[in-house]
Amino acid sequence: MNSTENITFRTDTCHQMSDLDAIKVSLHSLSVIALGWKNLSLDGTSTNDSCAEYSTFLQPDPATTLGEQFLKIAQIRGSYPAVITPEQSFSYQWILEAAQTVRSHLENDPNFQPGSPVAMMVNNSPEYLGIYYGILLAQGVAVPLPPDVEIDRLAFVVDACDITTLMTTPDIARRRHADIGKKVKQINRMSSSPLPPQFPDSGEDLATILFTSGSTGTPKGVMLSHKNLMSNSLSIIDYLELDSTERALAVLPFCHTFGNSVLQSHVLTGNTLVLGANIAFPGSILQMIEQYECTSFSAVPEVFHFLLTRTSLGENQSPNLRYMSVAGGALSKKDTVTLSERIHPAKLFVMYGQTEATARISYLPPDLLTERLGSVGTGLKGHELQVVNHQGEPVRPGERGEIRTRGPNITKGYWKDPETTAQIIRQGWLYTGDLATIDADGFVYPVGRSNALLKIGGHRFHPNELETFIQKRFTSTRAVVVGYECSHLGTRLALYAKSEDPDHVISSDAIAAVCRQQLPTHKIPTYIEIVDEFPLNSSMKLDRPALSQRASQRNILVAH
Amino acid sequence: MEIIDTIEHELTGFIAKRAQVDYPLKPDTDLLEEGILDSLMMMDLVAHLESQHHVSLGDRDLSPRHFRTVSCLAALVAQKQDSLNH
Repeated sequence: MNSTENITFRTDTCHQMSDLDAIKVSLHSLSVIALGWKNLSLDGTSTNDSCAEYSTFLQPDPATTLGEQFLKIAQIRGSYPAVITPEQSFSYQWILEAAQTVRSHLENDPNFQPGSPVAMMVNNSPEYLGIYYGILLAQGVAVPLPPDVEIDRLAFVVDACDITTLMTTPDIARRRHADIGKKVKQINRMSSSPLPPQFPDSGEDLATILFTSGSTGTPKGVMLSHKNLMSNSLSIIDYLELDSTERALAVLPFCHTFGNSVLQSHVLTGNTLVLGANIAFPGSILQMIEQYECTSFSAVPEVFHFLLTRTSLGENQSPNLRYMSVAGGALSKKDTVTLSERIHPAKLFVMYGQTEATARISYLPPDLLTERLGSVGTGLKGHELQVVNHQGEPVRPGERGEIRTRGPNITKGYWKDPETTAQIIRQGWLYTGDLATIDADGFVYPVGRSNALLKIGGHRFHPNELETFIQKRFTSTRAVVVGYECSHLGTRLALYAKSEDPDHVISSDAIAAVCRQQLPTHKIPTYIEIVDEFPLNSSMKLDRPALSQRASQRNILVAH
Repeated sequence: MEIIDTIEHELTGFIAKRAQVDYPLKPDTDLLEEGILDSLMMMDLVAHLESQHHVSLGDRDLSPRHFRTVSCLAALVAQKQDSLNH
């Protein structure tokens, strides 16, 4: 018997904007499935301390698909905790049962067939693992999106991937019911003991599509095959020297490429993810590392800066902590040195990568940190890493160029976008769009971007996304968005808007209200100004640096 | 009491402006449960408290106990300011 129930949520007040209504109508035809098994007592739950019996390290087989490897691990490590939260532990058996529930639901869905993309909006939780691997066990393609994704992007992804099913959890379905519809089917348990799953014949098949901001401002679906994910995870497992006793305090969102790499490298080796830390409270991170005997912590530069300035990081350090790792932006040289000194003898890994390379492109071995300060290392074993000029020739040491890389971690391309794919992948090389210098020993030193992409709190962001968002919602309005540096906080957004019609008045309050209602925090501009004219530079083009400087000078954030 | 009210009013305005809130923010709205206080918001809020309210916040101050609602936060700020003045 399939145990399902329909839950109906109150309808929300209507929006006045017709384009949004159209988006909602299309989203409301999605089949929304919420997994609500948390209250069930499955045999698979385990306690915190039942893990001493496993000592053999399980090296994943590079030839298997992710689903196969997960199944193998879940069977061997059945009672071992896959996830620990402050409330409860969830064993590999629990995750497997959850995944089989998802698989069984998908296989009974007439709209689903192997290879179908399935969207998921789930926070870091045991349910995330159940849903993700459940989709893979059904031979589907997981398309994870942040639970606070803006409705425009959600609609774009659903449309681009012809998605018919969105998987989520009851709390998120409730919070987003105005966007995704009020009819949610809740599944609680497996319909029956499923047959052994079939797996794709080839590692070349797609496992995941991760949507990220492209260099033009339109979201791009980065297609990642089983082989991409397996090979990159193996590289990471190798250089981080993961063994069978890892416990990562996982705060990075799993739907993001960096968080996904933490997830895969730990689950595919049967290790444990500790969840539930709130990075808004840096002290609680240190407390959880100690309390749950975590072996590692990975985060973006802004979080490390917050930890360094706001906590006693390093004092009374837990002896279990083996390393911390940073990626998703540049940690300042000062913070790099201070952090590595304060966490010693735990090691600091400075790493570099991007979604198009599955996650990781290079890392700097911790013992070279001082000697090669500012470098992101030399590339992964068995991969090529170069810095090249416009002609595609390697630059001389000290000269600036673009980073390109080649290896099994390179994406198959952007979903349904061969044109942009051909721009970033040429003769097997992934052109990263990141500018760098390289020294005589091959160590790469990033210096910036060759396009307009910004990093805000580790999220890749193109100003054009927000400009289009505003122009879609306010008629006769032109918007210009720039990043500006906010002392100690990193990059924040400034939005300048101008009315193109003298009879049409726009207000910064109205713009702010729409942004607040419909955008995730990192995309909300912290400075909004209505202008009569945009500044132009000497070649009569829009002077973005001047706008950026204007916002910086006003130190807007704190004066709000 | 008056000082606390002023601080509450100012902080409610700041948080509502900076965060993704599409309903009136009240002094007792649970900022954690509502998902308003994420890490970016927290970093910006701490910077705002220190520069605009002239308080310095340590390790122990940055806890859910003080940041759960605007009223808890206003009480912390008022208490910090008060101890500075004496």
